[in-house]
Amino acid sequence: MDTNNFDAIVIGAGMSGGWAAKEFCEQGFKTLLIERGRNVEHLKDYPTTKLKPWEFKHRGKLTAKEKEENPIASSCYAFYEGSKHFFVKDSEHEYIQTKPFDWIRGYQVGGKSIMWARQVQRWSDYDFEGPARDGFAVDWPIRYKDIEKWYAYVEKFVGVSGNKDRLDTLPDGDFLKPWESNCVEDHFKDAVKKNYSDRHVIYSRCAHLTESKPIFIKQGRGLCASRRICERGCPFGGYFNANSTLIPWANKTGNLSLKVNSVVHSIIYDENIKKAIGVRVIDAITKESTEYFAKVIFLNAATLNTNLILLNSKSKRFPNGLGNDNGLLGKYIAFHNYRGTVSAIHEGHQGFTTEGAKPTSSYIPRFRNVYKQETDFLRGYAAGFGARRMRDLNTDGIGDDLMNNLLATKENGLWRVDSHMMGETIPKESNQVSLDEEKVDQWGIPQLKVDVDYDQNDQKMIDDYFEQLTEMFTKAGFKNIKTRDNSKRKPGNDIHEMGGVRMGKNPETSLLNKWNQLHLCKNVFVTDGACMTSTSTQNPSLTFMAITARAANYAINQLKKTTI
Amino acid sequence: MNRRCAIQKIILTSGAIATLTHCGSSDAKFPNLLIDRDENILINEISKCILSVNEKDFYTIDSRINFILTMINDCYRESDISKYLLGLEQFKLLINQKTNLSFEKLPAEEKIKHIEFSIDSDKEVGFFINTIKQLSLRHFMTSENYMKTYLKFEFMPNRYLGRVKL
Repeated sequence: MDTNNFDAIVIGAGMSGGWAAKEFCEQGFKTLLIERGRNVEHLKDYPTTKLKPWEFKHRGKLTAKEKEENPIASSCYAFYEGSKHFFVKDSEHEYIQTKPFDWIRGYQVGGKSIMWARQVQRWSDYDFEGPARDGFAVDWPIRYKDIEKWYAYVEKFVGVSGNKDRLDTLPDGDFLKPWESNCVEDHFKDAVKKNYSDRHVIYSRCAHLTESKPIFIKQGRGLCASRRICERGCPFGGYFNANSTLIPWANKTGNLSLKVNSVVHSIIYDENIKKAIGVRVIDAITKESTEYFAKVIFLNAATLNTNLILLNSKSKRFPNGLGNDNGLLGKYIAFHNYRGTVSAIHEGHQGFTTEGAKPTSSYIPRFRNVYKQETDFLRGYAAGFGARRMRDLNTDGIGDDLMNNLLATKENGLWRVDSHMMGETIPKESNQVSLDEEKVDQWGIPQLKVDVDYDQNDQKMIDDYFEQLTEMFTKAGFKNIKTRDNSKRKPGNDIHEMGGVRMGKNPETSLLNKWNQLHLCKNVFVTDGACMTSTSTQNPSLTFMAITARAANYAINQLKKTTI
Repeated sequence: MNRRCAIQKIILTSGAIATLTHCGSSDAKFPNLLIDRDENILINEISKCILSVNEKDFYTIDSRINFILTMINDCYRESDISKYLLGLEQFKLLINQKTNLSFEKLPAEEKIKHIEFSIDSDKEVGFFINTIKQLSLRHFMTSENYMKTYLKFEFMPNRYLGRVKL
C-alpha cells in the first residue's frame, strides 16, 4: 500500500475518532488517524498525575500571565496548574466571537477525553422524539432501538458504573457497581420520592472502573482509586479516556497509522467519481501540505472544527462546503445551559460524615415537559446534586489564636448541598458558525466565526429550575437556599456544543442520513457532536461514541460489499 | 525608574517624613516584586507573627517566605502587586514612626500589636498584611501533615463511605 493511501481516514483522535479508528483497525482495515495536536501516550505523558497538592509550585493556581493570556481556557473549571497542558491556549488557535462564546479545546491524542467529566447517561425516545413532538429542528432519523445495542457495546468497553434505575427517561445499561451514596443524598432522594411521582434522584452514571473484567484487563486498566484528579490523566486507567483504551487497542492490530501535529485543511472531492477521495493536511509545525487518500473518511474533529473542515472543503461541485447544497452547514448549533446553580445548608445528619471520595454524585433526570408540554418553555433540564460535610474551619485571629483555631478543625461543620442545571437548548438557524472571509489562522485556514447565544427559552428554563429546585430543597428541609444565575457563563463553557451538520431524514433540511453519511457524499461520515440534531439534557459523549461505533460498523459492511 | 522606586516616590511625595530604604539590590527570583533582602526578612517576620508553625511538625517542600513571594510575583495582577508594595511601604513607615527599632527587633507583643492595627486598615497596608496572612494560611494548610491529619486528605482513598457515624 502506498504510504499515503488507506482504507479509512479518521480525522481527530479524541473520543469519537478513537472509536472509529478502533472499529476499522479491529476489522482489518488500514486506517490513518489524523490528530492536529501532539501525541499523548497513556502513562508516559501525564506529567502531573502523581503530584500531591503540596508539590505544586502555585498549589494549583494559574499565574496571572496565564489567566490574562487565556481568558477562554481559564474560564473552564478544569483548567488549572495540574491540567493546563491539556488545553488549547487562546493564542494557539484564534477564532472570532460574533457573540461571546468560550470554545474550550484539547488538541492532542485523546482530545478532551483526558479532561472530560466522565458522566455517561443514555438517551431515551423522549430525547430522540423531542424535535418531532415539540416542533423544532428536524426529526431525528434514528430512535432508541437503533442505538440501544451500540450503547451496550460501548459501555462494555468503556466501563460504566451505575445503578439499574428502571426509568423510561434514562434507560439502564449493563453497569459496574456504583459507589455508595451518602446519607444526605439518600435523604434528598427519599424526600423527592415522597413528594413527587415524576422526579427521581439517582446515582450519576460515570465512566469509571469499579469492578475488574477481562476486557479491562486486556486494555491494561485497573480500578478507579477515587483520586478525583482525572483531568491530569490516570496512571491506572481507572476512568475512560481514549489514550488508555481506544488508541492502544487500535494500535495493537497493526492497522493503525497515527499522524500527529497534522491540521486538516479540507476534504478532497473528486467530481468525476462524485466521492471524497482524501484529505489535505498541513503539518502544524513545518506548515508543509500533504494529501492522504482513502475510501472512507470519518470526520471527528470535535463539533466546531468538524464544521470548519466541511465549510472549508470547497470544490466546483460544492462551492459552499462539502455536502452543503441546502446552505444549512454550520447552522442549528446548540449546547447545554449550565448557568443555574442552587445551594443550601442541611442541619440534619449531624452525627454522620463521609470517608474517602467518589468521582461522581447524584443526578436528577429531566422531569419537565417529558410526557406532555406543561410549561411556557420548550423541553427541560436535568440537574446534578451533591452533598458534603463542611469543615468547621476558623481562620480568625493571628498568632497563637489563629494556630489554635486551625488545629481545632477536626470538628465537622454543617452539610452543604449543591445542584447545577443541565438545560437543553433549542437548535436555531441563527445560532451558527461560518468562515471569516479575511482572517486566517496560523496554517492559512479561515478562522471560524461563532455566532451562538442563549435565548428567552433558556432564561425561562433557568427561572423554572430555580423555582423547582428551591421547592424540592425546601421539602427536604434544607435551609438558607441560594440560587445563582451565572450570567457571565458564556455558551460553550459547558463544553457540550453540538450540531451544524445535523442528521435528518430529508437532504433538503439536514446534512447527514441515519448512518451519519453526508447525504450528498456518501463516503464521508460525521459522528462527533456536529451530527447532533438536538441536544437533550444528558452529557453527550456516550451518545457520540455509540453513534460512531454504529456508523463505523455500517461503513465497514459497505466497504466489505464494496458499495462505498 | 522601576515600579518599586515609583511607589517609594509616591510615599515620599505624599508628605511622609521617614527614611525609607533606597531602591537597592533586589531578589532576581521575583522580578515583578523587586523585594530587597531587608524587606524579605520583614515579610518573613510578619508571616511568622501571624502564623507561627513548628516546621518539624508541618514540613513543607518550599519555605513559607519563598511561597509567599512566588505567589505574589507569579499569580497576582500588576495592580495588586502595586497595592501590595504600597502597603509594604506604609507598614515600614508606620514602624519607623512608632519606634526606633526595626520590626524584627521589637518584642513579640509589640509586633502583634502593629499587625493587628494594620490588618483592619482599609488602606493598602491592610491589603499587604491580609495578603501575607492568606498566603501563610495557604502554605500551612497545604502542608502534607495538615492536609492529612486535619483535612483528612487522602491521595488515593480507594473507597467512599457515605454514612460514617461520628
